[in-house]
Amino acid sequence: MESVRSRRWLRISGFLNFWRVFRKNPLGLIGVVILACFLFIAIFCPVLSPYDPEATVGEIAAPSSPANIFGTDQLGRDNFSRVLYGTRISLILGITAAAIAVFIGTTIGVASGYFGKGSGEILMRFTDMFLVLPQLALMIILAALLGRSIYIIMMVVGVTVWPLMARIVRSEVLSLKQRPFVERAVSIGCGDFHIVLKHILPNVLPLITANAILTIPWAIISESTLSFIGLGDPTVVSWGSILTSAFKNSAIMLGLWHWFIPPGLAIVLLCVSFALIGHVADEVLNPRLRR
Amino acid sequence: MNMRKYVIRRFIDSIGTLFFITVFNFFLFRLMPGDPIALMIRTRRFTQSMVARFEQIYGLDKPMWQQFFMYIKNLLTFDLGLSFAYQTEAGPLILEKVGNSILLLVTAIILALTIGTLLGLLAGWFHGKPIDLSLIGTSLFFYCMPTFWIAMVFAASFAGILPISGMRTLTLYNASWFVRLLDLVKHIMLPTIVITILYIGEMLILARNEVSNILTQDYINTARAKGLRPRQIIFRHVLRNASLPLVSMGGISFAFLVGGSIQAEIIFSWPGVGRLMYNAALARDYTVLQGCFYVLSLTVLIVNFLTDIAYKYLDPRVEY
Repeated sequence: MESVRSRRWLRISGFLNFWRVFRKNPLGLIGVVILACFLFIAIFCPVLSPYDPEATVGEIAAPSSPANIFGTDQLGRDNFSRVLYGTRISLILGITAAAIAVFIGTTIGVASGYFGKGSGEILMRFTDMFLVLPQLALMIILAALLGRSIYIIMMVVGVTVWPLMARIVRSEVLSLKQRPFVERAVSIGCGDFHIVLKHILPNVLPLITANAILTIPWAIISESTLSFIGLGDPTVVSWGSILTSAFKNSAIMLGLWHWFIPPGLAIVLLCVSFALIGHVADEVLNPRLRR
Repeated sequence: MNMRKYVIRRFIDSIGTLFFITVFNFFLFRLMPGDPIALMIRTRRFTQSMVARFEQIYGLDKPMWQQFFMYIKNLLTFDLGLSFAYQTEAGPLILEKVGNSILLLVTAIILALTIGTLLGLLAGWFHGKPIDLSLIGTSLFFYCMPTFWIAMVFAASFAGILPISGMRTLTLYNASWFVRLLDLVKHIMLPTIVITILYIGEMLILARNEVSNILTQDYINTARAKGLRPRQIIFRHVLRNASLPLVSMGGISFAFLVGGSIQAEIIFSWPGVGRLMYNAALARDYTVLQGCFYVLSLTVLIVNFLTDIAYKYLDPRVEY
């Protein structure tokens, strides 16, 4: 009992320690504040948005006006409400897809790093082959074949972005394996599974955490790109799909800035917030020698 | 390991990857629920001869392993099958677009490498100074922008100043070569800038980290101590050593660059493989999709092979 409680305490105090260092960095704080705003919008968008995102509320492709500050789209739906609702899908999808990628990447990375020669080499060759494939083309082809549900898009994004993660994890595991505490565990007869779970994983966790956060922007951008290409889920509102309708209804030629700037800026801001948090978390969790 | 041995090993490796891509492509289409090809033949109105052609290409009535060997044979002879949407052979349809895409990609990669390295050098030299931080901040910002959105913003901003669609002005078809070249340059400007912006950030950060790392090395102190000018240090010691990771990075992120060019081609209606792929995805034209994917993967594979060899040439110490 005692050890469980103390371990839980260690975990909490570990997070507090992390936060203490993290909050000293203004960039990281900016990221947290932006992310908090987006979370707020995602949770309260039914209250915040003036209209139902799917309802026709005005004229077709109307310019911005006090009633529709971002104008309306080709079906007369309010763009402002649609941008607010788009936050949900980007957040959920970005985080889930990143989680899938991190899971696959970590599993393959740890396995190939730990089993070094032989099967490890083969796994890494496999990863390298995936790295060679042009990601966007792969996503397009998978999404076009598998269908347009949001769950499939999550899978597609998750399945295409894992190789980089696997590489990062592998190189760390390779160096961890040489450390004395692993040698000690081997010499007292610990099994592979025990060593990986108790000695290797806890030590790659900081690296994984930082990289997982940095994977999220990539997942968000991928989703919006797929939606933009017309392979997104047609039943959900996403920033990418707003941008597609702007593009297809020649918002560029007509100079309808209010239609395609807000959703794009939203993508950029959300991604910047994750990127900032990720970079600062990386600096805190994986300190390197500084000049 | 000498150069020839290295090239051979890498070549065998590339063939292995090519085989993987091929197998992947094959099963992607066979294991789909509901057999898309059979479905396609049934739902679209095809003439009897076209159905016969389909059966000849895909061997749908034969067992799986025979289908696989037919598939490999077809790919090697670049027989990619019939396009559902265009109702013609997919191979020539894709091949005639490849040149246009490569023109765009090569222009962008040269620009991005040069500008990215120079800016990275600047940031690394002034490590931690305001100029460094602002460069890093800007590139982070660009890194977080979806390419197609940057392209939209550029297209809307430059509409009327530069052509924002296509590759050449049709009315100039019998003008002098100089006028036509100028026209092409004008058309290629915006898509290249967009792809370059996407790529510069990554190059910049890599070059910057590399340069600031090199600047802490002892041989730089030696160079300084013996009174070399900053310009001499940069060209003789820093750039030489920083070029290696940049070359290998250039190869690795080429696949990423292809993704950017697909999006730029869509927005600027550039008649390349990416745009073809977009149209094929919209029309659910699976054969053309598959063909485009195959051609793009092949391109990335070749570029990676060439960069590895360049790397070995620059740094003979590298082992397989």
